[in-house]
Amino acid sequence: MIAAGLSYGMLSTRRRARELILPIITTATGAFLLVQVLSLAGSVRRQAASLGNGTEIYRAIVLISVVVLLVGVVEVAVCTTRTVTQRTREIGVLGATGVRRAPVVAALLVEPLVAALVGALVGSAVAVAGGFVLSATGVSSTSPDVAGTVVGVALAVGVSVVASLLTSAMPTWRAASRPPIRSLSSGG
Amino acid sequence: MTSLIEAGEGAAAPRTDEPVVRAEHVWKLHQLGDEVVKALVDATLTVLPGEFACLMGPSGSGKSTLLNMIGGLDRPTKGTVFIDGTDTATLSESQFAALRHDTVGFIFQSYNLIPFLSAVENVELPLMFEPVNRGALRQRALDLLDLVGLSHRANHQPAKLSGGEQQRTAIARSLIGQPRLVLADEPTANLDQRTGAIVVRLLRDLCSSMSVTVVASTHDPLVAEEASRVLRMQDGRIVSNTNQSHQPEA
Amino acid sequence: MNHATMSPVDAAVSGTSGPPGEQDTRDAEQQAAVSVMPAGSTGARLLRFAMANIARRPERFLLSVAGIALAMMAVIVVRTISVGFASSGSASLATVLDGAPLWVVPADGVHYDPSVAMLVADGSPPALQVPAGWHAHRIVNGIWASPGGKLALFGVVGAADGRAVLGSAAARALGTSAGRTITIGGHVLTVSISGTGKVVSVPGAVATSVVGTHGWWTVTPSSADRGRNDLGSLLAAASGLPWTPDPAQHPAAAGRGLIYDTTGTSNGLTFTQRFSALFSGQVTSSALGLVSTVGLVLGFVIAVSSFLASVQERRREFGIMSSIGLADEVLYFFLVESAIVFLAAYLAGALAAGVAVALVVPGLATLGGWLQAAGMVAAYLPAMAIIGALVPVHRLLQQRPVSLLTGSS
Repeated sequence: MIAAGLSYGMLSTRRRARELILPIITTATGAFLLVQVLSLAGSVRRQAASLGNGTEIYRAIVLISVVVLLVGVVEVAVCTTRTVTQRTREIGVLGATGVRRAPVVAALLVEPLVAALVGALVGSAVAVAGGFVLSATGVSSTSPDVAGTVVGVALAVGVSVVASLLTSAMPTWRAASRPPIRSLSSGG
Repeated sequence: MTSLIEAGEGAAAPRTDEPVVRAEHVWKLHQLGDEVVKALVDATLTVLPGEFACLMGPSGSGKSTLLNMIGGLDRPTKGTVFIDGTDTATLSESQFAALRHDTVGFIFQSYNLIPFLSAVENVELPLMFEPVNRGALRQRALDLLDLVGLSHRANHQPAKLSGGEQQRTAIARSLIGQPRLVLADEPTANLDQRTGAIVVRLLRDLCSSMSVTVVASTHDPLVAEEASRVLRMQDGRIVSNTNQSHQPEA
Repeated sequence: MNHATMSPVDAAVSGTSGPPGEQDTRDAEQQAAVSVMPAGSTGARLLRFAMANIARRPERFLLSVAGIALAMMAVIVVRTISVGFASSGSASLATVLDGAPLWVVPADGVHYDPSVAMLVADGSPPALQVPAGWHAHRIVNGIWASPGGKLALFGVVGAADGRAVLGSAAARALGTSAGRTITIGGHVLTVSISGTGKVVSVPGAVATSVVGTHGWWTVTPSSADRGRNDLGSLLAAASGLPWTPDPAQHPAAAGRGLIYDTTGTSNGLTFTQRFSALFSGQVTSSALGLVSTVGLVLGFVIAVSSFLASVQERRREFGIMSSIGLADEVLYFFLVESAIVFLAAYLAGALAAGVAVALVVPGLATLGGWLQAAGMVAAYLPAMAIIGALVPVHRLLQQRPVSLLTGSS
């Protein structure tokens, strides 16, 4: 039954593709920021060390990275609450027609997962490409650092996916556990 | 559009004595701000198989609330509801869902179709998550759409269907699981008179030829005309219970 | 939902009053909507309405404010650090030059030490010949490991007035004050306070005995030559050293030293500005400047996303308001709510940024820098708030009240 839930989820994600645009953009922007900061961190630190600011800059980079990571988590949460609200009625219909809670939750987790994955990958790709273009054309004097980029991409994808799953699972579980009449009449 | 189901007189399935639904001294109370609203007051009701029962009353009379109790969409504050012999108080939410799934089909005033699924997919929805044969399911869904006269609209999404067509799709959906009981909450409220009449006749024919029991809540007198039993409600109470069927009471 | 704070409108809209059939719900909602419109001036009414809605769904309000606040925090942190770099660079340069237009550094160059926020020489300056009538001051410079911590020590060779001029931070570190005496390098000196840094200025001989011969020259031209714009080349000709107007250039390791001509501008920027840019530019502008711009965009996108969510939830409510003739109120209401969200987020983000920078990178955190950064971001707020409110409302108002009420789209 969970498998059926997942295939319903994939179907609904395909059909609701337009609704994914905003979450993907938000996740991509957050991922872009994170990858940018981490990929340039290496060379920024080296330059700073030559000017005598090494430790301070290192700490500043850590601070900014943590903040950007948190921004990423929160914006994913904002998007997923929006989606769950939109689909409350759908959850009510599924419940009213007797579909069990587990497949409903599985079905509704597919869309945020896909949005987070696609968004994080798109954002990372743009950041990586942008970094190379900027340093190749000489616009930026700092060049991207492979190790930092890899860490950045892994973090961006990992954090986005985990955040979206956690923030959608709870409200969906709650909505699917209520008597369906509440979800049906709450509109949206 | 004429009815596609042959409704012969006396073609109803033989009645058994076991009621499909029994509600005994059911109360439903809500908190609204500082007030307590009595949606249902000491409602007792029995519905026998094959009946087309109609709950009639003005807004706020409790008819939809009672319907939701019977259908397992909500739980009573006090009192017992038996669906197909099972006391609903003993069921967890998950078991309740299972019961709804196997025994009850729903039709709502606002259709409640899933917007991104086509008509035939909406009809399949209740069984979409079961390990059934996809091909057989699709065929059964198409047959049901044919029954309600919508074969030509099978692949349209709800946005492209008229109100009457959406409601008929919802009726087809309510039948896919071969339920014993079909509950209709104000089925004709969003429809014009002509379309409403078609829907009501469809419901009546379901009773007589598909051995399904239908309970509808409405304030549309047209529905009451076609029903075999009319229960009038006011202020949360059942005030009258009239048998209108052409058959003698069991 | 929080039952305790629900208004009748809430209850009707959320269906908590029970499922009495949808027509009944609509009637009840219309009744309730009319009865709860607060009386009073438009502004006060809108404000109360907005606050009531926030209280209804505090978790959503907090989430969106947190998201925007974090984005703004990232932006302000980056900009504060950037400004901090620039100002530390230019402040230390000003102290070094002390009004002189020419600066001769040793072949080993100089570097900026953040622990004392001062430039420090890495080698001994070359022997220097200057044109007739010009003045050259040989400055000894180094880090003094004093009893109160690391301090930058300067000494003008040839000056011997028995005084130690301390910046106020240095005085605090040493636990002394004006008029008292202090012993440095075996010499007893009288303390006077000037400036705010961790800087100690002593007679040249004292400085040499403490930090050695590292240092540089500052050169002032004669009054006759003061207005000339080729001071660098004149000094270069007299001393045989190379000269440059570009602070990014470093002296050749194998050479004897380098003359920096600090007069003149390049691309409209003075030497000091370009020097500061070295600190903030090379290190931060291209990389982290991008971060700050994208951060602002992200904050905006988060805001729009959460406003769209709130619009979605409250379609029916706005349908009701629209149907009883309050369509304009819907727009104003959204502007007010958007303003509240952005203002709260900005204050939270700016404060958090200030605290974070002060704690994590205190050497770079200056109040002026933070104010400047916060001010720059504040300039964007009105536009963001207005557009952020308009985007979701625009779609909402395009629909007829009927479709909002019945919940179909």
